[in-house]
Amino acid sequence: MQRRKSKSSPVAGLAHLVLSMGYGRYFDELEVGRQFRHWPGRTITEFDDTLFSLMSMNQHPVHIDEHYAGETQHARRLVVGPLVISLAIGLSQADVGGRVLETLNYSEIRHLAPVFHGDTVYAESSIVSKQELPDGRGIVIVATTALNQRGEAILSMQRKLVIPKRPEGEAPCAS
Amino acid sequence: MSFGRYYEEFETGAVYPHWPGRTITEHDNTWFALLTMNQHPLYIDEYYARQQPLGRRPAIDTLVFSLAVGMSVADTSGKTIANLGYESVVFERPLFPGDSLYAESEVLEKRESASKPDRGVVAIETRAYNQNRERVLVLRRSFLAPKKSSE
Repeated sequence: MQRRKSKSSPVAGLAHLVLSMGYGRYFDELEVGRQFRHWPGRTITEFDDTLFSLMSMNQHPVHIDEHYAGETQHARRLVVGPLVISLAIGLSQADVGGRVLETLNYSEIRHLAPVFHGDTVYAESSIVSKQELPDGRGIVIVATTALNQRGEAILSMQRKLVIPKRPEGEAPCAS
Repeated sequence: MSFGRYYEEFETGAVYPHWPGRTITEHDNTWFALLTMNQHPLYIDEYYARQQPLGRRPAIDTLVFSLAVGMSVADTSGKTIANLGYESVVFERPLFPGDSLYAESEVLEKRESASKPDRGVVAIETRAYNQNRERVLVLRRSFLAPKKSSE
């Protein structure tokens, strides 16, 4: 059986592979002031919230007891805060954090509005500052805002990340 | 019925050790990363992680953070009306699947609400350690605690 010949050269095929392997960005590819609107978003289900609360040992009844929550300010269960934070970070990884070597800190985390079951979370990020290190790495501060399906901000936060510079000879990020 | 504390029950400077701790498994880590849409290969691709500076997959930062918060709730914010936010979350050393996490919290400050007499703002510092008592994380957060007298 004869193998079908590819129209593109082996080199072109390889370049495509390297580009498609991009997840996150190198230090060189994150310019201060650049903004990213992350895609896709994610609808938080009741299942997600209960599972996340219990898995992270958070047994606050406002997250896991509908009858208790019914007597509180919003009269229903609230989505647990660390889930919103973890999701906002997760949503941003493909654009900004996917090459991070180390997360140094999070700061100025604000829960701006309550999140309920069925709400969808979207996220946006901007690059606040950059500092080059002598060893082929750099420190980047990223600000991320999470929004619900009505475009209302529900969370804002920053994180300080150690990100490597692009190795010599590696193709730059597609965008 | 004791879960969390009323505003009156917080004492500035008091340290509450949290119990029990929790071993982070490889399953936890992979599952947590994917549930939160974090597909960084450092946490889900062992072959990739072996070529990185740590040489293996660390526990994902958002999981370590979420657990430290979760462990603290029964002793601190378990009656809270609203979680206001986190001033800082500092990761001091990596944690790996198989390691256990333990935590304690210290009350930094408490003050009465200016607008609502039935509650107050409490600020705490939560410190998380591994099984060798090496500090892994320090976070500071504040929340609204209801007053017992207002029940």
